[in-house]
Amino acid sequence: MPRSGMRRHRLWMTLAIAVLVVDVIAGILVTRRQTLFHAEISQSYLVLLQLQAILSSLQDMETGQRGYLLTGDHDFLEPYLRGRRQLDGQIDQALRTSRNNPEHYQNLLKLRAAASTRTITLEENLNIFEAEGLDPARAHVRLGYGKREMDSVRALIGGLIRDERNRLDSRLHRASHYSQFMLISLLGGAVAVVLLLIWCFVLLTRELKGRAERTRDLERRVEERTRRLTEVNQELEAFCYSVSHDLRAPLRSISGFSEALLEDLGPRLEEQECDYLRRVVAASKRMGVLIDDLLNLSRVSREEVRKDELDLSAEAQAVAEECRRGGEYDGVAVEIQPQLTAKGDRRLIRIALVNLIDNAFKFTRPVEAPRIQVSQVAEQNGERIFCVTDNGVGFDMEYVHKLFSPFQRLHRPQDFEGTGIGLAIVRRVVQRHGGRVWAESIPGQGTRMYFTLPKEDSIHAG
Amino acid sequence: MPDDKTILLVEDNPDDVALTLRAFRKQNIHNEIVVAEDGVEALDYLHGRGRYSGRDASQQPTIILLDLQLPRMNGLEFLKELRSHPETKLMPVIVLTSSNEERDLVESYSRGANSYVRKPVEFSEFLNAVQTLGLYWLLINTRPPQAK
Repeated sequence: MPRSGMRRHRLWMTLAIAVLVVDVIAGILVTRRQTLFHAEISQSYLVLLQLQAILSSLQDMETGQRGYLLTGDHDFLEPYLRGRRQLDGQIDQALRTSRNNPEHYQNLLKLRAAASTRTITLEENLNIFEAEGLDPARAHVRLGYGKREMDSVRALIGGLIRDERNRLDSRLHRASHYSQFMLISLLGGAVAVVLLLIWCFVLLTRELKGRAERTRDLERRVEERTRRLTEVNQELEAFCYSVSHDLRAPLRSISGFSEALLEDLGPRLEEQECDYLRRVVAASKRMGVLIDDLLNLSRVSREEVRKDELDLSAEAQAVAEECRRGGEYDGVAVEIQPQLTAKGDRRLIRIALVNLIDNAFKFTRPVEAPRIQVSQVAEQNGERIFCVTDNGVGFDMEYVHKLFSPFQRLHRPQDFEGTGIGLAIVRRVVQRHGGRVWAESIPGQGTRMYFTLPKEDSIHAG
Repeated sequence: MPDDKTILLVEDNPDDVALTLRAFRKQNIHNEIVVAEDGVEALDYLHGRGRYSGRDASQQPTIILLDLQLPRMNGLEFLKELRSHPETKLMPVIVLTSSNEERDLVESYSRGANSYVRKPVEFSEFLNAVQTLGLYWLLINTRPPQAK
């Protein structure tokens, strides 16, 4: 659900962006196209102005000459001279403007020819007037060439203006249509983008709401599971409690009454019968120890790990002294490196040290000059590696993988007593501190039990 | 040993009762030992009511040996009751139990137990414990004054 929701949302977002891009590109193209249209329209206006100018120059020439012929006053000739001066330039300019329009160009060439004819005729009139006087000039005018020529010029210019007007109209029309169309398209695009963005927003909001719902659901489930785990844990604790109490009571009876029999009947019993009763007592005691060890294993797994600043040297010293209390291990040389520190749960670490150091004492029993060392061998990657070394009987490294599993023993119980749970407890304690434990041994030479503890806070709850 | 001092043993397991009595006998402790099977019966004894109505309640036991796991009223509840009555609140109580759970230790002491002894499986060890207990609580220790 969440993935497909994200994908759908991304799809719509992409579409919105695509429409926006198309809209922007269209906008740019439209602007360029409109510039082109405007250039064409301006050209049409320019052409119209030029044609008007040509016509007005020719009319000036005509008017100027007429006034001059009527009055003989040179001042009246001024418009004629001005028109004459400007006409060729104006026609050339018009030709340049229209050089891309062949038909118009051709008509302009015709106009130039007609204008030139008209100019020549006007000039002839003037020459006649100046050389022969008014009457011959009048006669020349009366011939009607000038009027016909002027009519033809007017007709040409009129045609040209009409053409250009038509062209201008269609251009204006096209431009207005085009801009209307583009306005609608661009507006449509913009509206589409806005709608798409709103839709994306809706999808996103829905998605976020769904996600929050799922998070709440997860939280509820975690809570539920934690509650159940707590329940199970409490049940387990109650179970262990009753095991510790109720399982020991019958053991006490078995052991106690066997000893009572042994004491009361001892002198009257055969040696073998006494032996049987002693075995019953010994077995009960072993089972008592077994129950205690199992409870310890379960306890180190259950109890919360605190983070105390530990003086490992002092702890190890205290454990060693406790082990030696019976006087059995007076001959063992114990060396504990001073100032060993670590962070961990004092009670749990104490339990681990008891098991490790007690083992060391136990397995050096048959040795001539027993020696036990507790030391730090290295400090790396935020953890400290500690080692309990003994020069005891050692074990075959072939079986090292069994060493830390509960109920695994590498020696016969007749040689070394024990339940086989001690090192399992050690491993559990060290693991709960985020550390590791391993062993190296050479049979007949001794054992090195390594364990690591974090230097800083990185203790796992699990 | 003087036998004018009574011991109240609060214990529901008859085997444990028998073994405890034997241990006391073996250690030559001949004081009278009264056995109550649970907290209710023990309180009845102390206050001279129920089964023990008519008992002279001014004669109180020197020490109480208390098991924790008991039917009806368990050891911890009994301790609380005991400490809440002016006549019995100073009585020395030795908790004698199979449990070595930390919370039982803490609870016992915080409710006013004077001593906490874990019953060993092996009878000879239990004998040692009883001997030490008897020596300390019946001879060495000076008992609190009897409440009037």
